[in-house]
Amino acid sequence: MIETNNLRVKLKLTLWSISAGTIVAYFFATNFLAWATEFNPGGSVLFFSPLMCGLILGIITCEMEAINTVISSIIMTIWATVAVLITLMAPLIFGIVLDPTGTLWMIHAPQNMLITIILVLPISLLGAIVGRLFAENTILSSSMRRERDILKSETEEWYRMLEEKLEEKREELEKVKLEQESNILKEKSGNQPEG
Amino acid sequence: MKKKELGVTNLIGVLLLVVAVISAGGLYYLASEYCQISDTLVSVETNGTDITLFHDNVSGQYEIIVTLTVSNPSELDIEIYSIEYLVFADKSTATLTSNDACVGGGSSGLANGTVSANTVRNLTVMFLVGPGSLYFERLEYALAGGNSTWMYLNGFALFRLSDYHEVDGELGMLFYPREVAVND
Repeated sequence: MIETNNLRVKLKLTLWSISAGTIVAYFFATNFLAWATEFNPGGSVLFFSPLMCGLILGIITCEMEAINTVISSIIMTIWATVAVLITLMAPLIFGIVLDPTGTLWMIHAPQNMLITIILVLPISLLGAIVGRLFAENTILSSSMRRERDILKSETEEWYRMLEEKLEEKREELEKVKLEQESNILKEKSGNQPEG
Repeated sequence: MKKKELGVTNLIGVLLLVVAVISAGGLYYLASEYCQISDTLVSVETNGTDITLFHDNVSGQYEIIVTLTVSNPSELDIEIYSIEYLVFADKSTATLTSNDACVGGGSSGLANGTVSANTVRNLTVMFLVGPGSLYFERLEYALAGGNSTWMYLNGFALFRLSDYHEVDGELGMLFYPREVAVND
């Protein structure tokens, strides 16, 4: 059940972790820039977005080794922090201005980075573990059940074929035995003195 | 059978990827909005371009009319809603910026201070100096004697972005001292 193709696993893990990190970064950056954009999805998303993304990561990494679930949470946290930093520093990156509010770079940006790291890592890890447990008890258990049924039917088929083979062998042995007996009888009748 | 099981998690993974692409678009939009706001906050400028002094012979009060030129090279409209100011008048530029030369101060609201994106607009602000006040006496002193009178304005304009009302900005006004004459 556990995927072992190393490169494919790594690629999938990285892609999914970055995807989850991007989603989390969007909600965090929207919250941090709510003072400017007047769009604020609410402070609760700072809790729910990493939890839900972690949950989904836990589900989709259930077929991998357990360590990969933890690694995916870490990659997700790193990427979310980087994406939030890029968004907050966008004016600086695009060469417009160092600090439009006069305080953002020195005070708000490091604070926002810290909030992102502190909130995302533990909450996403919690979500990932819960998601993995959920997946193991639902997706994996049903699939294992199906696999067991297949194995059972295959084994039964093998037994049936084996029985048939044994029957054939038994019949052949019977024939050989009968032939041997008739030969012995013939030999005995041939050795008896005439008259 | 294994292929089918992988499909379930892959499907969830692909859905996650799709949502992530949408979120990345949202992040880009957010960043570009923030860039536009930042650009507006730093690129808007205002300068005093003209100052005119009127004297009302009936009431005795002086009207100081200041023309401000607001330059908005950004992509967002701004709305100047108040001018905080101090007006100075004196006989020479040497003592013009001293507190004793202050002939008025306060704030003046603007009814229509909108400056559209990529435009330059002149705004006029009027200040009144009534008789009987210290400011009036100082202004009379600056104008007396038949010598030249110099005026100077110091302050800043408060503005907000028309599309983002939460974002406020301050513009320092540059107004170099200039000679004025009283218009009756």
